[in-house]
Amino acid sequence: MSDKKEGKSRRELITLGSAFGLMGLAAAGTGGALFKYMMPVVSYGTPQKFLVPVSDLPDVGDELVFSDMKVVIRRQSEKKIAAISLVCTHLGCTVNRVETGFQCPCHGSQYDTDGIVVGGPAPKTLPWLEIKAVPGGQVEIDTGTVLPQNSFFEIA
Amino acid sequence: MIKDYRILAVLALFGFIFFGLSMKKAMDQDWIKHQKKYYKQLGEDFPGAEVKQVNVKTPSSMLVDRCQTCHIGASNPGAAGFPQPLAAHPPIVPGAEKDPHDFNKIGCAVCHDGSPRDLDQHLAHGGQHGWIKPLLHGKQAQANCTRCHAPEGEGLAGAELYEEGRQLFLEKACWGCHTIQGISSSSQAPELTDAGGKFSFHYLEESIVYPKANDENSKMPLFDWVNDEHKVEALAVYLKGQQKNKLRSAESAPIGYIKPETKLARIETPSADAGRSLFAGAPFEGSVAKGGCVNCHAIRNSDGDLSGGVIGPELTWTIRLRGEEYVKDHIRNARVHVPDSIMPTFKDYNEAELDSVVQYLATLDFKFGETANGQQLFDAYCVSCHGENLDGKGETAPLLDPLPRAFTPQFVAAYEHRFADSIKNGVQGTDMPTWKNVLSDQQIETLIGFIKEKTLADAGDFKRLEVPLPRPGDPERRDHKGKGLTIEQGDAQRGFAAFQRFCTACHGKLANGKGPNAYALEHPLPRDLISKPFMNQTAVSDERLYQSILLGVAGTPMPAHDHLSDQTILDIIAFIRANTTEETK
Amino acid sequence: MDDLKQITDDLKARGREFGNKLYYSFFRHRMDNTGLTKSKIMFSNVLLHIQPVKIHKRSVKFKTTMGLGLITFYLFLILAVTGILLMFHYVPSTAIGPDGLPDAYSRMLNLRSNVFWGGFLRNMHRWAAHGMVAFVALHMLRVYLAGAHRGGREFNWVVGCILGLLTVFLSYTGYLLPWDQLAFWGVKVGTEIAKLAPGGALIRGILLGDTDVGSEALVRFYVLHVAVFPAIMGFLIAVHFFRIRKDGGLARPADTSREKQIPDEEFGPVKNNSVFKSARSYKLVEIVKGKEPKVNEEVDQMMFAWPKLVVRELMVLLGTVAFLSMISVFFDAPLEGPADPNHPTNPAKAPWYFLGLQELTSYDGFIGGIVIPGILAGGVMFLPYVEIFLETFTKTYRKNIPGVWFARERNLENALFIGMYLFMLTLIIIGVYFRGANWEIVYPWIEQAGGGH
Repeated sequence: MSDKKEGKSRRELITLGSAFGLMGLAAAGTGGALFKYMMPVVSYGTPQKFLVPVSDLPDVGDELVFSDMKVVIRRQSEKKIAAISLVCTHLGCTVNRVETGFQCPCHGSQYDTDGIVVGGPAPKTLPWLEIKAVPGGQVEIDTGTVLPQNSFFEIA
Repeated sequence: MIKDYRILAVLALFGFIFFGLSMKKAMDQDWIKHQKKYYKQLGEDFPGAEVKQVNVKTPSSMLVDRCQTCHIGASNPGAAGFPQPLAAHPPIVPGAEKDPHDFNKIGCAVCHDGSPRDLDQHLAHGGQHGWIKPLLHGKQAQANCTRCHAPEGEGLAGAELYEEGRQLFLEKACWGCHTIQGISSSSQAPELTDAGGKFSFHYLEESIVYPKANDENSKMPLFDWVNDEHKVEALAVYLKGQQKNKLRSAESAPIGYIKPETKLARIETPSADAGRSLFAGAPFEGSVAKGGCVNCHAIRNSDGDLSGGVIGPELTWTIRLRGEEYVKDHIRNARVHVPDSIMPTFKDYNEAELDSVVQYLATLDFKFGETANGQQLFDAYCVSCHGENLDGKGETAPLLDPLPRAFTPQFVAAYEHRFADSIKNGVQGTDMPTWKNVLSDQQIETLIGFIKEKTLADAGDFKRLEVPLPRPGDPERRDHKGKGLTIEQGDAQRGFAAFQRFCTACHGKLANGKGPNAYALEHPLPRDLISKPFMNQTAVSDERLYQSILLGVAGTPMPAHDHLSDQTILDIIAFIRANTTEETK
Repeated sequence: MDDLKQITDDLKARGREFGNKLYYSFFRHRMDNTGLTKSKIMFSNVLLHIQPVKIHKRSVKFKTTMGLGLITFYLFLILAVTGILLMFHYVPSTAIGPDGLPDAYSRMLNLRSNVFWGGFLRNMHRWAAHGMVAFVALHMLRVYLAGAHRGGREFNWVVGCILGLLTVFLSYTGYLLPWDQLAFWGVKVGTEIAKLAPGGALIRGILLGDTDVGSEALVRFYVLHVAVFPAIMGFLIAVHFFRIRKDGGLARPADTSREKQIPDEEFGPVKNNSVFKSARSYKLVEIVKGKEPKVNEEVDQMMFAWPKLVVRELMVLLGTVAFLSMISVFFDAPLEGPADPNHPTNPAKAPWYFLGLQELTSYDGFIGGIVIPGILAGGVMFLPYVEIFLETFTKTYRKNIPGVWFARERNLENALFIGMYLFMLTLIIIGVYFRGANWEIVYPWIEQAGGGH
């Protein structure tokens, strides 16, 4: 009698457990899906990434400023290029390229040519940005991904 | 309870399955597959799926373009041979070293339309029901060059189809009826200044080929050149390019946006050659040809070969039939002489241009020889109005008021004695012109013979009665009780009452031939009895009116009215005359 | 060793104590099978305490309610959740972008293309909205046919009718938001019908904020849809439920006869640990209106709500969600081209729940636009009072047994009510399937010549 009852209650427990397990899984999945639902997929503003054809890159030892993207692209050698952000690490002004490096017009932060802080209130060096090769003879500069200093991209 | 729990578990399972299916639907999208395939073809690692969105900046706002999510190789020359949708876009500007169109800045939909936010192929290509801008395939995209450029004047490299369409618009006289601001002005047909913004490419093509396809009430003629698919496509591209809503303002526009000032050179001195160009819709000595009569009207060369459109009547003899003034008036406003004409109003022609056209038409001198038979003559001169079967239903007949005569056997039998005069001098108040400058007496005889031969066979022994017009003082015809009544002068006042009683059902209260019953009649329609030119010509004598009322008109719906007394008929005639004599208003 | 054992025992005891404290901070009851626990579970949980501790066995039987009211309520919850989620991706703006699309409509395209799961959530919302209108109607039919609108529950019927109207308004205001051709012309036709009613033009003006459906109307419909109507609805749902509780649960006949009882086999014997063997235990803590059988005369047909009722309610919820998910996976919510006031769709049809009225107005504007909706809205809402009025003045004091399907005494009323439903249903079916371009009769099984727009 008690065995039978126990068996019944175990069966109940298993059924209930699987039901709530499935419900829990679906709920967790829904949570994940909603997380993705809220995540930005595309940008409607200035895009984080932009493409530059390899043929448009500056000559060796030269630099090219993309003012609307606030990025300077520098070519160190035939193969090596780097992208440095022009957004001041202090309060987000756009720094100007000067002979000694970079200078912020807002509060006078000064950086050297590699973006290392040499004066003013800036707390950090200017970020070096990630460059990726894109099919079709282009490179993609991602202003959202910061690399350590002196990270150069090798043109294939 | 176990039963309840089991149901719960089953339902939970169903819920889970459908949740999973919705996830699969959300993640297993075609564009991800396309991107994977693209990188596989390139032989590179797949960097992860990403929606490639281009925000096309315009002065007012921003256009969202996600086409390159699937068309991922569009700007990669290395992807030239890839299967769609991965292939590279062919160069737009022919011969340019570097194509100025950067797809990473302008996207795809700026030129190709479609629904650039969608990522499903069917939807993105504008396949959704009721979508305003379905995809423009291949060269059709040239329609959208005008969103940023102005290919008028010089023409823009790569927009050849558009340019061709522009030429067609002028050449085929579309401009005669349709307004496109800056090019033409006319109020006869829908304005096309924003045709591209309002209508889809398909709609435009359809409307060019068969105007009634989209508007049952369209009066636009069916052109014969629309069998040429290429021309239709070119014209549709041009029309699709007519968009008010531009993406660029004049300041930020790429090359060629600022409209060249198109001063249309005008013809200053009339000449038959200039007229010929206008007639053909071809440019003449730097003037932009705004003509193209030939699209609707045909003419014969000196060998008698007919060429031109079949929408309007043939114009080989028109100057000799109508005279110069009539033709000029007709070009300026066709409704002056032909009330229901669909011919556009060419009101901006100057005197020299009108003269040129008239001079050119006057040079057409084809004539049939005396030996031509009746069939030949009829087919050349009469058929466009009177119809092949002599039933008055020729091609231009619906535009005419009154309708051309239907040669019913009874009518011919009864009235053939009037034919010679009608042909020679025309019939006033109708569209029947004077043929005496074109046809010789001999030819007129031949024609009448032809008409009789065609129709009289069915007339049997029909014979018209001749009844003389009673004079005042004559005894009354309907004097059954022998009261000895005599007829007096017709009285318009009494005639008015009688007319209201006996005639208005067909001839209308205004006697204009548009009574309520007239709508049930097909051909011919009741006579317009207030048309002064018609009523005042010598052929329409009181006697003819009397006979027509008393005996009816043979071969027409006009019945006999022998139940009316002579006095009443005379009164009615007096009333009709009072309406149309020159002294009365 | 002993020391060690003592320490471990002590630790175990502390652990148990800590565990207990933790447990009782969440729950205020034990997890055994006693009546006390079952009672405590029900009234110490904020979500469950809307239910009574003990319910009548009838209440959980499928036949009694078919879960219709509950499905309606769950659909409302689903609509609220999906609706709030959709709001994250929506703007009620008709501003035209350079792609020629109104903002609101562009957002629909975003939802269905690049927003993850966006299409599915929109489908859910759309189908749940249609479903809710349908289930409100079915729920109302059930209540009437079971006579559950009488016996002190008349006012709750009125509240229910207002809730039904609100559902239709909610659905209707939401119908415009995608701003596509379907939405625009559907709403346009609906507001044209409103014009026919006396004062309708005034209400229409307030609703549209303009002389015609346009950007103002979109903003107003949006605010009504996401804030005003849901708030009123939430409040009235609370009233609706509260009154059911106060009226003593679902309407049912008295349990005085053995024949009408539900045998123990169906739900098992009721374990009652309370001292009051046959009386309902919650009588002590609240005063329940209405006629109650006397203590000790009542045959005990009450049972604990936990866990039976809760499981059954969960069942209905899961069923609703699963079915809705299925529909949403397989059928996409309709979206036509963007709204274009210059190109009417042909035919321009109102949402389906208004198509009956549209069908009627196509015969006669006055009857279809004023008389019938008047009877529907006003007459049905006050139907129980009409019944009472007629019974009082004709002195037909008959036995009203609430909660019995198709009571013989109510045959006439039931027949009339079903007739009204069939009448509206027929009109709606005609309107949906048998009306083509220019509102001419078409047969859905004969394919129509394709008509562009």
